[in-house]
Amino acid sequence: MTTDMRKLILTALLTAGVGLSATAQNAYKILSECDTTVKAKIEKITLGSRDVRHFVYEYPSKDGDGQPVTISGIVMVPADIANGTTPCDGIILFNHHTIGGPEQAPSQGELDVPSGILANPLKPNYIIVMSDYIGYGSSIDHQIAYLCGDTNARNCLDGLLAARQLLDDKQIPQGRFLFNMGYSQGGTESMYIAKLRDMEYKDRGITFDKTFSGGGMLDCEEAYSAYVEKDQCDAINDVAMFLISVNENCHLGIDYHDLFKEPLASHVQEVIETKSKSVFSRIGVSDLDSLHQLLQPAYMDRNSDAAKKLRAKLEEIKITNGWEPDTTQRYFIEHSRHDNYVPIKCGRAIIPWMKSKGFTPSLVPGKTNLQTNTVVFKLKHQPSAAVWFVQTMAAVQAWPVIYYEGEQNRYYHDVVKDLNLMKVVKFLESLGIDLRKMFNTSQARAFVTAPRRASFFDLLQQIQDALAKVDLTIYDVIEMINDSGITGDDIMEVYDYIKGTDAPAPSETVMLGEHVEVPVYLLRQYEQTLADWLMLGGVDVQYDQWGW
Amino acid sequence: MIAAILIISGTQGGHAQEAETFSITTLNVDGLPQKILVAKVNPEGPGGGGSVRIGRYLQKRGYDMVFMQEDFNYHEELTVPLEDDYQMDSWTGDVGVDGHQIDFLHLQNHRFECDGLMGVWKKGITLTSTSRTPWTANFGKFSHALDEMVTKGFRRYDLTLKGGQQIVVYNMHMDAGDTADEREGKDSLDRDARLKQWNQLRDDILTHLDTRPVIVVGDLNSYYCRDQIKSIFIDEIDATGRAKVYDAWVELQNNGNYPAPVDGIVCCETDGNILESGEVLDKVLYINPTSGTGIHAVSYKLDTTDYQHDGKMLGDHYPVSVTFQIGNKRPTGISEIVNHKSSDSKWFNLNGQRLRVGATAGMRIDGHAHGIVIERSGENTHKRIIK
Repeated sequence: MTTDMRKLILTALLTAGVGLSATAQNAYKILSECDTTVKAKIEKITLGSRDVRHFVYEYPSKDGDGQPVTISGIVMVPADIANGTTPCDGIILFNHHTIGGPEQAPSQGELDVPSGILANPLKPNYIIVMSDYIGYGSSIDHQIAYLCGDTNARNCLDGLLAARQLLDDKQIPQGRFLFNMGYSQGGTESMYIAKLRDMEYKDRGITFDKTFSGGGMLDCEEAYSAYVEKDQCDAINDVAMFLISVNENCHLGIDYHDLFKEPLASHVQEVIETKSKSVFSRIGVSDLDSLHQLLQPAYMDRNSDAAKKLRAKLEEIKITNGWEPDTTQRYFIEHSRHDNYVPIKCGRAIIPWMKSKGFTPSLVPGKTNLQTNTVVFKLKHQPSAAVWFVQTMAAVQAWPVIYYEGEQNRYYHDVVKDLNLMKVVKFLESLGIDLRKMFNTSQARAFVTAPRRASFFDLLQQIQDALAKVDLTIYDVIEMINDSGITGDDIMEVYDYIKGTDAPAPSETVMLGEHVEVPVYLLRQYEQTLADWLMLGGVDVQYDQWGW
Repeated sequence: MIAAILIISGTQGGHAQEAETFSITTLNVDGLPQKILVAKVNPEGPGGGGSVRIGRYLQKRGYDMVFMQEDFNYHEELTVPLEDDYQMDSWTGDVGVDGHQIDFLHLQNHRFECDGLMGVWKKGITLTSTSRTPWTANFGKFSHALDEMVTKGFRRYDLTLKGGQQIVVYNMHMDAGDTADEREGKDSLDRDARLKQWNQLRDDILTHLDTRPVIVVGDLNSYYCRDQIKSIFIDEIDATGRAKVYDAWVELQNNGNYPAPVDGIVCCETDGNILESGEVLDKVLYINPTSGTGIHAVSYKLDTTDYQHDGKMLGDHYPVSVTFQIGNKRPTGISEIVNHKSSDSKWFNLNGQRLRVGATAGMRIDGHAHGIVIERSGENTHKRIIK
């Protein structure tokens, strides 16, 4: 059946109300339904297999201009859930990553991620719902909306509502939990979905238990700036596709010869029509290693008039624009510091914004409404996906235990509520990993505990040198700490502990003047820093005379 | 202890009447394992050694019927001392890893089939039928006292006493709450679950009600001031006109007054969960059908003194025991009460007539909140003060 015929039938059914659910909003049409077996694989190694009932369906949604469009997607149900022998824990709205072309859309059966979710050794009892996004499957005659505004998000949310109706009609239980997740493009779409849910779909019965966004471009303006600033990106194809998508969907009217150099400039129409990355390979764009080989100089200068116009549009369509987030929704945002496709900047850019909206970041799962992990380093975009996947799968697997009663399990809550760096150190000690001992047997102790021989700034330099070996700077560390919700007090507590000094208990105080009471430990920290600074300036400071 | 005793009327001129009494005890034996794998489940529990002591305690007490809850992992230790004198119900298994097929990847789907309920009755008492019914509503699987981890519910026993009288006993363990949740007022869903269980119990009793008296015992995890026992169970059964419900503690210890419901947090953190009023979570209620044989509670005892070893209570609940009299007529008098102080008490005979001050016969019905126990055994009645 051709796509046009499918659209025609669905439109006719929608109009006539025949064979569809009672509510037109959640209408759907099943294109195929079959029982099959899926496998979770790493390379050629099969980790597990599972029987599933596989639905390909289509449903009404809207394109970027608000016009009706028929979107396709899949619903994958573990067979034991479909036949009622295993309880269902919930639904995972999985938003796919960048695909190489229309043949890789979920409805075309080539995407292996949903199989990897259901058939992995943990065997999660969830139903997977995936949209093709606009431009693929049933909407192949539309342009794609790659990383561009909330069109795909709307397609996904409409797809979720339709899938729920489908499951109801098939009398398949949907469980209690609902997750929204994706990596890379899927990580971006997940956040657009969360935004659209808060702003438009909240009252339509969609409440996510958690949104898991990994390696996503969470600030498209920041991404563009980061790309041109670095002039290097391993995802040249994706950057090109992104800029074409923005130009097309946002009707910017940029002439592609003004935007791109050859050979791409002359092949953009082919890219738009085929939606296939193979075009980039064929014309040699994939082999470029610098962005200036792809973009015209005007767009390599982020302050040029042309670039400013583009950036203004990107600012307009960025996720945070027009979003009043619901802080009862929980998030997990993960991004590798060495992401070679999506710069860390545009991933972590959303964290300060979320903090300003009432979210509290924490590395610890479930401790707050915003779990973050931007401390993954030494991993590029694709390997980092595995880290994100493992964390996410562990979370959804544990969720029914931790949130079984509809609230966070008291025992888990009691463990994580006061969890801080010091408790992690103590926990590691209980496992036989004695950081204090390690520190005291290393050269670091001699360095840190001898202020006369080394200044505070020397210490920073030594830390910087050590970090350079893992391609990090001290600013990276500060950013990671900032994103992770760790406070200066947390760090000083651990620092004092592993240093092993007999630091006065925080309760010990001295009076400065008549009215100001100051903890002794704080004074000592300041005095040491000041002494170091003075020594660096050549002042001979007798540090011992400063004792309190 | 079933005895045909001669009731001697103290004030009404005296006539002799054959009557049959029997004693019944309910006890949560705290039989969850102290540890499962590396997880401390019930570290303060009695364990194997403590369960043997509980069994010996029960053997020594010699109650006619004992109904237990949380008989999970130490069943053998608990019941071996009772084997010579008692017949017992079927045990439904333990809580643990050994011998169970557990899907550790999906613990949310696991539920142990056992209910922890156990009934034993003296040889000579006949069990004619028994049934087991799980609660239709529970709350809490990985917190809120983990009620959904086991298959809690009630068991019903149709028993024939030695003298040929028939009774029905319900033994049960209702939904528990976590003390921390109760302290913080986060136990509303535990309360809701118990409410549904009381409704389920009431409906089952009314469905099967005939002319036989019904006794309801167990760890009900309910306080009158917190749970709507009075309105949804007692009053509703009474309102049918088919039967009347009594609570032995209310009758014999609390002046016949049901504690009034209170709004807000109710949390008890004392050993044995004894409220200031003397009310405990373990109760003995009884239901007399309008047209049938009646029973009457003649003694109530919460054993806070002897249920101990080395100064520590054997389990985490004190046993509640009640002696009943069954027959067509109410007892018309009792023998002498020892150690009473009639000056500060009101004394009635069992027909409800007030006795004169200083009388040496009658029944104290104003009750005490702090452990005054009236016991009758044969022709002797004793009052003991439990501190």
